[in-house]
Amino acid sequence: MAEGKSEAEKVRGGTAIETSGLTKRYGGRSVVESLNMEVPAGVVAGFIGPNGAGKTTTLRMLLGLVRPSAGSGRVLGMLLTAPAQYVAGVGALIESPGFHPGLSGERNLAVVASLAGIADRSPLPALLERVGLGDRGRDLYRTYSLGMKQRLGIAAALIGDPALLILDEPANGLDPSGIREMRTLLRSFSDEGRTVLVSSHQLAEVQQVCDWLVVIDHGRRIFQGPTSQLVGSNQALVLRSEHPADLPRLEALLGRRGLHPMRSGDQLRIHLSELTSSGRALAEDMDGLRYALAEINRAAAAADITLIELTVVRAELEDRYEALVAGGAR
Amino acid sequence: MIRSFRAEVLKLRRRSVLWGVGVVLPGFAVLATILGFVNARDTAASGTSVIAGTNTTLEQLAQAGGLTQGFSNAATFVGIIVFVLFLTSMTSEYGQGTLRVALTRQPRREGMLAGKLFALLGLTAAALLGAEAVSAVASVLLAHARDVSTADWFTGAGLAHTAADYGNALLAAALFGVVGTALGVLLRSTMLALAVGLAWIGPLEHIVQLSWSGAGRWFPGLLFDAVDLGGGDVTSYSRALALSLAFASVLLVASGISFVRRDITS
Repeated sequence: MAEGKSEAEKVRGGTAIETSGLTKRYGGRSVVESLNMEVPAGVVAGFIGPNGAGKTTTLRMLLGLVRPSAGSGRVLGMLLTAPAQYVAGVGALIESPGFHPGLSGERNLAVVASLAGIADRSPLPALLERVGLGDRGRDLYRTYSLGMKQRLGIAAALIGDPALLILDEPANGLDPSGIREMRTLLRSFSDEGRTVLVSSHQLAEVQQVCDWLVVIDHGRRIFQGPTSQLVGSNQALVLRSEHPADLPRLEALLGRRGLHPMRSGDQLRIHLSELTSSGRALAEDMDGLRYALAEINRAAAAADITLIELTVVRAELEDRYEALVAGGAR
Repeated sequence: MIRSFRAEVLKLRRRSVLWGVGVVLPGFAVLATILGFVNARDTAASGTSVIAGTNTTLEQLAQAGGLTQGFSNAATFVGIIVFVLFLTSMTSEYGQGTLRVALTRQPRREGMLAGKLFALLGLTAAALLGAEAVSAVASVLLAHARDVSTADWFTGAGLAHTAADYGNALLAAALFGVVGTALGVLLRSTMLALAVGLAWIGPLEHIVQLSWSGAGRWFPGLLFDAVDLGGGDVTSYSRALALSLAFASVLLVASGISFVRRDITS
């Protein structure tokens, strides 16, 4: 698909999902239009876009539920047109969880395991435990709350130890603690070496948990890349001194260190991308960033300037997302 | 197909289904047996009854096929139950979103449909076996009550009749099941598919039959009944079987193509 190493491949050395010109039309209406996307292996990738942007249709095409009208793609290196070759490596939760109300949670998982050709049921209790349903596995699905149903959907997606998880709004119906647990769960999937593609409207959660983003609107990709690339470009370091009269001296001190502070009222702002160590941006290097901030603080103190604020202000994904969507295709 | 079969067995192996099918089918068979013996006359009445088993004589019950006469007479009711079971089993997959989950694990759709059908047929076969057994027991008890000779029932011919009745009942049930599945796949909505299917197989065919004698030779529901009864006055067994298989094959192919090709969008 791509000649040489693509941007996604450079990140982790492999691509879990890639599509080229993927299109889905219903009648004359295009739901997904010439979508080119890549998800590097081993990342938690956020798939975001407004309602009706074509996210779920794209996910359905990746899973073989919906036939593309045009274009091609690969999932785990296998052609999109042959889902039977890759579904064994993929766990999915698409839209709302779909289970049999008259069966228990555990029996529902057994049904999914049977469909996946997995005869060994012994891991199922552990899966239920992992998603917080350890003590409710034998209860009928119809007695579950919305959040519990969602958790069972995640457990079902984990059956067969898949390399790739495709989750459509997994935090739907979860309470705040459930959302926190989901965040931890998603990170743990990535730590285990799995790739996670998660569609969500909860941008704050996406920002916290995703290393990679694909943003679509009207069926077209409008952004793809590391999360830091989208939100990092607007990060700034804000400095305030105890006495506003010290600001010119602080500005000069920072200038001598090769930085370009800007005055903004009674504070100075430095673009975070200016903070580097051996030519490497520190925006995503927490240890390096802490060291750099301590250095600035020490230098200010040595110049008899007392800092009362030294804060990294991060742009919210929501703001960048709104700007992207409002700005149209990129 | 094996995966889908196993998954379906897991779904069917629950108390409500086992009790439902395991009690209702034998229950209808016993009811039809009781009615057959209670209403049996000493001599045949003139004319032909539209409803199977309501014009039986005690002499007919004493023949080789008498043991499972009631079981055969329950055909239409059993067919409708099997039709509803297969249909709702399919439409509920759409309605509950379970088909979406299933296909993300088993994308070979034709295999999935076949596995599901075979599992349901297996359950039907077991339930029919139970129904025939309890119907036979009821027949023996009722034969004593109505002084019907059972001597021919346990001969080679009698047992062959019993086996043939079971085979025909299973065949008819399978035909009803295939139609139910096909309607479920094509219409996807439980209410719509039930309304269309039950209206056609139930009142429509029988109303038309009252005014058009050819209905029994052409209408699928009536042909399936004829298969179950081993043929009748209106149509021969071989014709009923051939036409029924043709109907079922067309529906099965049409629904199979639809199932394999249609996008899963809900």
